[in-house]
Amino acid sequence: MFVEVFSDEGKKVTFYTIRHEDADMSETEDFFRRVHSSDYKEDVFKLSMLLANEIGDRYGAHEKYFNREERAATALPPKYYKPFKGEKTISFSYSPLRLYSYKVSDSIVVLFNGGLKSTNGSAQDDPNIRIHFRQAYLYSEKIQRAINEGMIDIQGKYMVGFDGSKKIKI
Amino acid sequence: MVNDFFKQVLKETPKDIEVFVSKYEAITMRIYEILKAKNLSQKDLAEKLNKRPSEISKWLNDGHNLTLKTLSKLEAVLEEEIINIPLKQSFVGKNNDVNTFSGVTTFFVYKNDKKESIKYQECNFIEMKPKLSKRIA
Repeated sequence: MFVEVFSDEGKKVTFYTIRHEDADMSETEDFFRRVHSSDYKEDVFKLSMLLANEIGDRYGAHEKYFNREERAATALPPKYYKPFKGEKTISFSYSPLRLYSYKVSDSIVVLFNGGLKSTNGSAQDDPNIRIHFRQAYLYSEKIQRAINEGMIDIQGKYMVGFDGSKKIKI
Repeated sequence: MVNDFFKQVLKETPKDIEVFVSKYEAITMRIYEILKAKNLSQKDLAEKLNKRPSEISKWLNDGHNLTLKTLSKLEAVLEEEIINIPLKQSFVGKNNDVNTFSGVTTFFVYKNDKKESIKYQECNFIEMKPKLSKRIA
């Protein structure tokens, strides 16, 4: 699988994503395509604005945003992100939208996949998102290991492979 | 570079949602930073306001409940401004469009001790260009 740029237009953060070999689209594009056609379109718009404008361009990967720690990865939106409250929710008061991510630095965030949480229990028991929760953990571990072993070099708001490539095989 | 589908989602997002997320983030980030700068925890703030910590947590994490009354209480106890509203509408005039001027539309010039009133509409706007002075050998 590869780590590739998802969006780097913001001044503060470059968002990366994961793409499997032979896959038509990245994991994060798959997430957005699925949730975009759900009943939670307004939440999707808000999450997109939070990523592109606030985290990406204004505040960076501030600790305030990464408070929903689920093993090595973090799920966005942040906990208690109440702008979502009031919209259609399934069985709990906050948004069911979960996009897994891994904050590499204040300027680099890797976005994975996710979905709409359908139960009130933990992510690992939820039928809709448990697979993405597990994958996020594995991807985060792989990325961190590659950084530790020098396979990925961090250069400002970018990650570069040991051979200088921007699309990094992990 | 931005993923094409994500770009499409951003483009589709209604302006009011964009403004809402931006304002919500600006306010909560401001409170977060004030607490950090003053080395205050949510528990400290609760004590200052004589409230339960759970209530403070609700205020700080609940954009919808952040009323003007709550913000005023927070500003009072933190002794810092959280929201700053500009008093005047800022004005940006286009130098080649005289219709953008409102309010005072004339000014006076003195020519040989004679006061002359000139309307902005009668003025020709000339672009100022830097002029290099001739170097004397």
